[in-house]
Amino acid sequence: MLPESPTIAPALFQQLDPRVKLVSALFFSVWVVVQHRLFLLGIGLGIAILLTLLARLPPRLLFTRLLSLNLFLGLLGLFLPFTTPSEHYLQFAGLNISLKGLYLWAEFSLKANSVLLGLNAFLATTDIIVLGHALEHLHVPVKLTRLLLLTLRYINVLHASYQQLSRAMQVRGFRLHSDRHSYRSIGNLLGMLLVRSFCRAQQIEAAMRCRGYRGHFYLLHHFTLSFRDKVFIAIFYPNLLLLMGIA
Amino acid sequence: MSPPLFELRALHYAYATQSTVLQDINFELRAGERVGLVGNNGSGKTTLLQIFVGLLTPQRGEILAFGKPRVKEADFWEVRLKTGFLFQDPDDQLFCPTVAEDVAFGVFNQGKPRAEVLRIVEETLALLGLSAYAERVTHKLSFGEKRLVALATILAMQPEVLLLDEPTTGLDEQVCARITHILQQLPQAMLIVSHDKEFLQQLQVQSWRLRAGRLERV
Repeated sequence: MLPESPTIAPALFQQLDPRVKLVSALFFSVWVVVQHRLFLLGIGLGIAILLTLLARLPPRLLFTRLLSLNLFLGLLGLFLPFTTPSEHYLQFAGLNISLKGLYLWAEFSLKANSVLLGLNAFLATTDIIVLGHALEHLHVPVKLTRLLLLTLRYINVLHASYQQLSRAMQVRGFRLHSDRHSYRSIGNLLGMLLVRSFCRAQQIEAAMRCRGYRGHFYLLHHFTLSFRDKVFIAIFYPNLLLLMGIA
Repeated sequence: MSPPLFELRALHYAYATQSTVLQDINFELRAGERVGLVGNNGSGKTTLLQIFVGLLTPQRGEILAFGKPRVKEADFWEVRLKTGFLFQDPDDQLFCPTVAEDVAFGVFNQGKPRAEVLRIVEETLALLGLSAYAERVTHKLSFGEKRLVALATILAMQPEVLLLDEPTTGLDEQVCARITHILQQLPQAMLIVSHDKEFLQQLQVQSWRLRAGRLERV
């Protein structure tokens, strides 16, 4: 149910402070998204590829993610050049190809791929739980970060309870058809899941109150910037700023 | 003689949709006492435990805990910090991503400084032989491991009383023996709900039974 964090040989990126990675991912993505010149976007993609290489992500994981994005972009490429109004058109095999459409498509593709690679390099190398903590340290509202962490904790419990119920249905001979009985049974299953998660939430809250919970969360782990982090900051940010200057 | 840690006087409790669950309950728990609470399924054992820490409010009767009457929600804050409540389902209790954080949760709530919390977490895990588990992710533990960690989360708070709701249910012999051994070493007063007769015998408890809403000494 929950995506397992990829286990890879510790590379530079696995050892960076997660706060640095989160902020860098944000900066990089925003920088890419606000660019409009293809030349700069090309450099952006170059940086993203470099980051990905540094992050040493498992190639298969990366490939499947890139594939689904680029299939979508490919589809976009079939429509944009023919549907965007433009001042200039290319004549090719009797077709009017909009230059502006072509340009937009190239811009989208470069941006989307750069952001995907950048986010993967920065965030896929961090355990999702650590990421939750880092968000909390960056003063993202506690309600949101706790929601994330509690979801991570209980999504498996809920999934297990869904599997239990659906297996119990199967062993009593239930098979999904498109008839009233099936729809009603699935409805009951989902209803029961809702009821169970509600009860679960009440129990968890009771257990927390028993341990003195009164609305405040404390953080056990603190992060510290290492030498490695400082070197990364010293290289990454000046370059990004320099590129901003060019833009 | 010092006053009892917990004292219930003429207590009545009923759920909105049911007839009376608990009637005229009188009970005392003193320091160092171990009490086993038995009774059929649905006889109100868990309900009674929840009344002790103010999760449920009785319609009539008095609750005295640590020498003071406890009525309002705010009265129970102190009670909960001094009482270790082990839930039936450890998945209800372990809500933090990692074991160390979960053990630290209650100790932080007691207002202890971070350095001390870290020390207590380490000590408690060592005491239960769970040191290797500190950074493990709670939802990936086995049921037995979860129960042991849940026990660690309440022992870390150094409570004066333990309320244990079926601590051995669903465990294999090995974990069961481990929990029995841990509890035997502890000085705290305990109120244990259990169907496991052998386990209760090993802890040498005085037995009480809930039947038809009434609590009687066995």
